[in-house]
Amino acid sequence: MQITESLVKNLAELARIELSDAEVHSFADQLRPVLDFVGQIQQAELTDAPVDEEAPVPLRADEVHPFPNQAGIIQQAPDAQAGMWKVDSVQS
Amino acid sequence: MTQFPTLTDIHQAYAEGASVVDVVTDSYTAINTQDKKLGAVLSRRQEQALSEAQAADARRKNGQKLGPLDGVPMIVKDNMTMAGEITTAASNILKNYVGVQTATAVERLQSAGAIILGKANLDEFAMGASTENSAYQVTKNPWDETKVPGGSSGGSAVSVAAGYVPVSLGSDTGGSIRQPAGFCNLVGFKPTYGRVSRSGLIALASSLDQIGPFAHTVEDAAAVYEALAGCDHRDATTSARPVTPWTAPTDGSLKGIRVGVPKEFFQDGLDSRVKKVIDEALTEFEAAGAQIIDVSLPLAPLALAAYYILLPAEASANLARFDGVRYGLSERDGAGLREMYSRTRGKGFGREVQRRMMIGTFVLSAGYGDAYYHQAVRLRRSLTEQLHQMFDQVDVLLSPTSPTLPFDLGARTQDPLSMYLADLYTVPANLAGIPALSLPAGFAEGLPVGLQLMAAAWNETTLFSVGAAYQHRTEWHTKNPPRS
Repeated sequence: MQITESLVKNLAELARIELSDAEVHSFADQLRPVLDFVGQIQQAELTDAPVDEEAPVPLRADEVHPFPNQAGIIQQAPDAQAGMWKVDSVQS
Repeated sequence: MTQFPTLTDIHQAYAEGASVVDVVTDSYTAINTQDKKLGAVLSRRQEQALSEAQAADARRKNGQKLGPLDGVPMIVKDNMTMAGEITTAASNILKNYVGVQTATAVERLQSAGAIILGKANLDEFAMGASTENSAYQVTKNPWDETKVPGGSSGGSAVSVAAGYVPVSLGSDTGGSIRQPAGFCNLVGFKPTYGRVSRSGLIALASSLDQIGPFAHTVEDAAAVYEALAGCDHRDATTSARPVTPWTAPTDGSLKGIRVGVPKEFFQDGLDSRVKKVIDEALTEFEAAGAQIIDVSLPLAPLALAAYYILLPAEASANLARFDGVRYGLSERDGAGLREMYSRTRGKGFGREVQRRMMIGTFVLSAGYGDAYYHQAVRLRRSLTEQLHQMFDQVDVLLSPTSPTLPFDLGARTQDPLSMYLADLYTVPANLAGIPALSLPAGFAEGLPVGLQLMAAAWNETTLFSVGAAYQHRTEWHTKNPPRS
């Protein structure tokens, strides 16, 4: 498994984390031993779980309860309008 | 009041006529005197705490007394939210984040009468084994200020070890309560997964996280646990199973207890000085009447690899919410949405968090998911099954909590893998969802060594009983670091 800078750039893109070229280089160096280490897991011969009958999950009544601190939520918004979060369109 | 109070000391102070305001004030004095040096506390809520203390005094004067946590000062890890108060998760991305609802665990403490004094330092988003990944400050081990207190709940551990409070709350995903407990000469306890609500705990890995106490004694840890445990409609992963009440044993007998010693926890990587302390503890267990049984957990050596696949995978999903849209840091100048996400997370997350986001992304990605993530899921299931069967033959499993003594500040920060190895013995309990306890077991070169006990799921009381019996026979837990 080759941990190249190109792979790291791709991972950073997928994880939506902006990194400088120096950071990409440094992360590649750090990730190599970690991924080698966890890669050991492939040594084990293991099987998938058989399909289990599931224990019944107790369900609660489907009742609407207004959240007691809606104002607290919107107060955290970096930008808000009319009680809604304001953010750039996905189209832009 | 004594410098390193237990719950008994607090109760004694009240019996002798102290007020809650007195006790809370004493705790803040301890914090204000020592924390400039030790760095355990991120934020204090002195005004609110004193006001709550006054209300508690009025209530108690009226004859209304609560249980063992009534009027007890506590500190909670800063990844548990409190309504109207800042919770940072020790990250820059949440520097000014104000909690919207108090975490269930914290609410339960407050209902039991505990007074929350403030929030404790941690590794950012609970990722780490030394508390060095905090974006805000370094926390030092009061036993030796050149050493780490352990992590990720280092601040919570030091708050008790340095005598600020008798008990505190941490969270444990791969050892983050037990390992700092071991490094700071404390009792640290991780309940069975599903025993304590995670509502209000900023999620790291949702299938691994649990909240639990730090204390000097097993009795104190159990008292905190009992206030926390139980079903919560706000956390669908909590169990409706009733909480077994526990009575502390009156002596140190371990007659009839079968203690399994898994050989894989005593192999390469274990420091000989730690091994010596644990071997002596085993002798004590035997002298107490326990039957020591050598056992083997063949999958244990791969548990850490499985953990460092599953944890980053779950964490990368849980931390996707920190994107600048609804709360926290938001880097909005310039072009569009994707840049906002990337810049916010590039600036707001520390290095370790970024590393784990990328590892998680990798192990879940197309082409690698089966070899890494799904293989780790298979290993987890098989390991859980092995442990489950093991508890037919033994009552508890015993091992060192950590493979090494507390290490130097800065020693592992340049080598992430070396830091991950600290979790070698603690991750199996999280993977299998079983309860685990770390107990003070002695010292090597003046530094604390913790002993870990694990039991079958829902058998918290077995752990408490064995741990309390051990504490009847030993005095390690009564030792405190020098006050400078």
